[in-house]
Amino acid sequence: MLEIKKLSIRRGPREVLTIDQLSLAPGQATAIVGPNGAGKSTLLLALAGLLQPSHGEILLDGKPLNDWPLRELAQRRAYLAQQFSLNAAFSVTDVVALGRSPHKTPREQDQHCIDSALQAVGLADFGDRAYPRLSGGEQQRVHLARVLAQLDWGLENSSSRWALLDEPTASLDLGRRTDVLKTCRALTKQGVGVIAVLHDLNLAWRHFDQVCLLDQGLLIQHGPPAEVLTLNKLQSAYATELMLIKDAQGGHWIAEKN
Amino acid sequence: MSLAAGNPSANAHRWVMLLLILAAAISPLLALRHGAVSMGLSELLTALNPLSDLSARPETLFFRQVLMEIRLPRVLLGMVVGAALALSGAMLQTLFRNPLADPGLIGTAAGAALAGAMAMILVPLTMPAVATLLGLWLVPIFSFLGALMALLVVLRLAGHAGHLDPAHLLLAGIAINALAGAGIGLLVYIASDDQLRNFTVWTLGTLAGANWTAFMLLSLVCALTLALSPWLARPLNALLLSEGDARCLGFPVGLIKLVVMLLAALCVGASVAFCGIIGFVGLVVPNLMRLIVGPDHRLLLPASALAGAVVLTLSDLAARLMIAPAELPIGILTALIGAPFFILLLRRRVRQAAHA
Repeated sequence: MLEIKKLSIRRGPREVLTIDQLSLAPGQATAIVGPNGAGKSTLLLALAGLLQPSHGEILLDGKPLNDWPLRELAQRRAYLAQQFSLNAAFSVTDVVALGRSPHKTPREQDQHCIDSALQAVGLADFGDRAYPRLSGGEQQRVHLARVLAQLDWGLENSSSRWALLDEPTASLDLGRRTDVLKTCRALTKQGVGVIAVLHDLNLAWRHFDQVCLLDQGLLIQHGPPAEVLTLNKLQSAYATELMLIKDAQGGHWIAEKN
Repeated sequence: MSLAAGNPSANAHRWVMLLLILAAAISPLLALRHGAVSMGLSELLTALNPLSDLSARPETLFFRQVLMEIRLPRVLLGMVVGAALALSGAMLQTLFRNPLADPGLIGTAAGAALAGAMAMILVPLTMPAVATLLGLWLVPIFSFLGALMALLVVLRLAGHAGHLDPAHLLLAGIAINALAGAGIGLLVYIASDDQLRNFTVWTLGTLAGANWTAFMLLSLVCALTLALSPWLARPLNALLLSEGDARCLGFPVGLIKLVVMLLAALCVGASVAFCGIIGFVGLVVPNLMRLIVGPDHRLLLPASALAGAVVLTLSDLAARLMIAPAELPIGILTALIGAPFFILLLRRRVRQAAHA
C-alpha cells in the first residue's frame, strides 16, 4: 500500500499541494490528471521521495518513506522523470543495466531482466546501440526499460512495487504510445502499482483503473475513470468548454468544444 | 558495464587497460634514463638494483646517487601527481555533469594555490608558531583547505537545488580564478626576492621540487582515491542520469558527493602544494579515456589514473629535454598541449548544441 496522510508541500511561501488522505493499492494503474500547475509532478516527486513534504507523511507498506533505507526503497519503487539530460556514450544495455543497481542478483538474472525489459519496450535489437544517437522517443523508451529492470521485470518478485511515471507517453508517436500503456498494464499484472502523470484524458480513461484529478494543488477526486472524469468536474478544473462523444462501441471520448 | 562476458567491446577494453599498464611501466624507465646525465638501460637497472655491488664502479655509483636523490623521486612524483589530477578531473566532470570541468578551470587549483601561497609567504610572517607546529605539512594542509573551499564556493555560486548550469559553473570558475589570482598578486608584493623566484616557478607548475616526502603523501592520496573508486564507480555512473535518478536507484547521493569533493580536494590540494598548478591534465586525460574506454567509471577511473601517470611522466621528460640543460616549467607544456584540446572539445559541444 502507498498511503498519503495530511500531506502538504510548499515551494517557497506557496503551498503547491495539499492532500488530506489518499491510499493506492499495488497491482493497479492510477493516472494523475489535471490542468497545468495542478501539482501532478509535485505529487509524483513526493511519492518518489525526491521532495520532502513540509507537513504530513507518505507511508509505503505502513512505514514512512523517510524511514526506508535508500537501497530497499529503490528495490520497491522506480521513478521515470519527464526529461533526461544523459549524454554519456553508454550503450542502451548499459543504461538499462543502471536499473539493476539496487539489486544484488546473479549476472544471468540481471541480463535476462534487461533483455526482457528491452523487448517489452520494443527495443530488443537496440542493446548495443549508442544511447546518445537514439531519437528522443527511443531514449524515453530506454529509460522506461530501465524502470522495468529496476522493478524486476520478468523475474519472480511478490513484494509490493511501484512505478512512478511522469508523462511516459510525452514524446511518443501513436502506436508506441499504446505499446507503453500496454506495458503499464503488464506491470500491474506482475503486481506493480503504476502511477502515471498523463495529459491525455482519453488515454487515462481507456488504460487506467483509477484516476486522481488534481486542480490548484488539491485532490478533487480519486476513483474509477467513469466516476472522476465527468464533464462537470473536468470543465471546472480545466476552465474550458468540453464535450463527451460516444462512439459506436459505447466508448466515451472527451474533446474540446470547437 | 558490459554485462555479457565475451562482449567484443569488453575485450577491446581489456587490451586498452593492458596497453596502459605497459605504458605506465615503460614511460618511467624512459624518464629515468634521460636528463642532464643520460644512462643506458642496463646501467639504469644495475644502479636501481639495491643488491648490485657498485664499489668497483664509481660511475654507476654516481648514477645511483643521481637516481635516488633527484630523478627517481621526481619521476615517481610525476606519476602520482598525473594520476591524482586525472582522477580528480574524471570525478569532478561527473559530479558537475560537465566534461569541461577541470580543477584548473573551475578554480579548485587556484584556490589551492592561493591558500598554499598564504602558507608559504603570509603564515611564517604572521603566525610563526603555526608554521613551526605544522612544519612540512603547512603548505599541503592549506592547499587542501583552499581546494575544498574553492569547490564549495563554486557549488554554492553555480548550483541551485541540485541543478548546476554548465555555463554558470565555468563563470563561477572564472570568478574564483580571478579572485585567487588577485590574492596571489597581492602576496607577490609582500614576498622577499628569494621567495618570489621559488614562488613564480611554483605557480607555473613544476616537478623540480620533488622529494620523497612529497611522493609518499601523494601516493597515499592516490591510493585512497583508487581504493574508494570501486565503491564510487556505480553511483557515479548513476549520477550521469541526474541526482534525483541516482537517489531513486538507491545511492546515497549526498554522501557520494561529499566523498568525491573531499577526494578531489585532496588530490588537487596535494598536487598543488608540491608541484604548483599543472593545468589541463585533469581535463585532457579523462576526456580522452572517455572516448577510448567509454563513460563507465569502473573502467574510466583506473584508466584515467594510469593515463594521467603516463602523460605527466612523458611531459616532464619533454620539459627536461626540450631546452636542456635548463628546463621548462611543466605547467607551460601541459597548457600548450591541453589548451588546443580544450578548444576542440568546446567546438564539439557548440556544434552538438547547434544540432540539438
